[in-house]
Amino acid sequence: MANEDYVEGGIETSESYSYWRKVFQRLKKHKIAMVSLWFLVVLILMAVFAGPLSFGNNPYSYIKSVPWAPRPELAPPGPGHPLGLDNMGRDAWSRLLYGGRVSLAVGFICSFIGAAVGLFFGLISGYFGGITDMLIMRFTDFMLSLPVLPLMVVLSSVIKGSLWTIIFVISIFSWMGVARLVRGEVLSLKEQEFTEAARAIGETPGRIMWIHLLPNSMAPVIVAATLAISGNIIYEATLSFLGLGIRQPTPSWGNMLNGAQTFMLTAPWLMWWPGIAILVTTLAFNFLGDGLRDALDPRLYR
Amino acid sequence: MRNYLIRRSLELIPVLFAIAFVSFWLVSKMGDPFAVLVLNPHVRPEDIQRLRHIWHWDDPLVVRFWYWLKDFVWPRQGWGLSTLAPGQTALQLISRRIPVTIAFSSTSLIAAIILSIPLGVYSALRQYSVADYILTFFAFFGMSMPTFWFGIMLIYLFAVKLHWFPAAGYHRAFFIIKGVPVMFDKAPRWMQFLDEAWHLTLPITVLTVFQVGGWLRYMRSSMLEVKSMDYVRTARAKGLPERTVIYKHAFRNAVIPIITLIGLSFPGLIGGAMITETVFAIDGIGRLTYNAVMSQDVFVAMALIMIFSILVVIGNFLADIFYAVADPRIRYS
Repeated sequence: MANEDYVEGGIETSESYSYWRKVFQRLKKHKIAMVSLWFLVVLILMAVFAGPLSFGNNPYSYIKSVPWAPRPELAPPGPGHPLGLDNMGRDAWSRLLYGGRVSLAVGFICSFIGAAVGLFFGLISGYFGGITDMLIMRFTDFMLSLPVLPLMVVLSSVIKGSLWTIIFVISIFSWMGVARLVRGEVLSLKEQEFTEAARAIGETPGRIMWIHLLPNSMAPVIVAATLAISGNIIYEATLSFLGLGIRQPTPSWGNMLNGAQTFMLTAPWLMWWPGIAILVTTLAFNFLGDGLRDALDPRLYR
Repeated sequence: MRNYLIRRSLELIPVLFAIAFVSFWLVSKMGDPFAVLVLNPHVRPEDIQRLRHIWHWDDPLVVRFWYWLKDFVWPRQGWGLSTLAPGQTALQLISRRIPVTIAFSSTSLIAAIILSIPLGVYSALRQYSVADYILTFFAFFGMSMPTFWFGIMLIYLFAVKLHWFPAAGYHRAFFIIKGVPVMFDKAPRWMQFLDEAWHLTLPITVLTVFQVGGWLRYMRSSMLEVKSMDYVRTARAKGLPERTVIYKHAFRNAVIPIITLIGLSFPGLIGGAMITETVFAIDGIGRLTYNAVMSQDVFVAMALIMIFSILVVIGNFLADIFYAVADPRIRYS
């Protein structure tokens, strides 16, 4: 039994290996996507090494005085504090770095949860059909006919709290697209010979879904999940901007902009960098997703 | 077709019912709408009890929901009292604020359609040209831009630095006509209109850019797909002029999915309007939603969520119907 598994697994990995290598080669030709990919790698590294990169400052502590400004609150950029200090006298550069950690984490985790839940519902719905399919798809349609942002605002005001609350609130609304996509894929995949063959040798539905249908419907899911990251980062930023997402003193790109409108006249530099950070990050994820779509789409394969 | 319409509209009822229940349950978790009254020395505890009883707030959730829904459909008690604006019912508050939101979001919706469809077609017809690259970049920019930050930046540039447009609000309080102050409501219609247009230019820009990006990309790819279809080649082979081929044969088919997409984009439009109104301090129902949630004005928040849900459901419905009408290949029975 173990031996059989090994052989079967071996063939699959070598096949999928060459498939993914082809995909990567096609992706490499997509210049903007590659630039975005490298940019995102740098960005993630910056978020990971936020501590050493913040010049000995930390995002939480109040800086008592700076030589170039009468008060540390809203002090303009200067030596050691490249982006100045925020309204609470905290170093904006280190808050930007640590905020990136939070924003990227929310983007990735929500997208992952959304993809996983969407895959689960999509596989079950597409494979079993009938009443299961009808119930799941009705539920998906129901979720799609909700006014997302107002409900997110209500939800996050009801369950106030931590990073995980906001992840939960965003994830609830981020699985429907993937579920529909996967269901569509599975509907066509399950009519193909390899699924029939798997059924003929007596494999269980769970195993067919896991081994045969899941890897084959992965391509559009990866594209959708990549694109969803940028949407989720914007959702997090929006909720935090409205004062309902990540709470002080934890920094996030969104809540750094929370008070920015008030300080627009006195400290406009405070509202530039978090916004630019959100914009370039979402732009990069969108370009990468677009490049991945071109690379993964067999219809465009030349 | 008629049967399909009837069946489809009947299907809306359970969906709306479910949405109503879920949002009622969720919003009532926000707080007790009568708790604020306790703080008011002019309201006697008996009166609070009486109000609570009128709204069946002393009954279980389902009963409470039923009476609320009845009042929402047939507003005898005006959808409940607002705590945000004491002395007003939610219905009064909302109906006074709804016209602004409708005016400004429908203007930006139309602007977005007028911009994205021709630009998408142009981009597709000149694939890989400089114009195509510029439009593509612009589209990605629009898709990636966080709405609220774009709003703030526009305020900073055009209101704070250049003084071209006002930073907040949707009309001025009064005009000075020949040295005499005239209240906004008493001013001539054209002055009111111009003033509102001037105030709403930046918010409409923000909301439009937010929508154009995605639609432009979608229109482009739809047009590209149709362009390589056999029937387009056939039309060309028949010797039809290029204009006819593009606009009669290709465009008409390419635009169908976009119109469906527009119907499905209502949740985004509502969210965008909510953020834009909050950033630009426009007293529409989007900002009202935010304020109601922040100050735990339960009845107002409930009614607003319900209105938004109805709008989204209608958008989906229209998209479906349109798709069925426009595409003769789809037969519903």
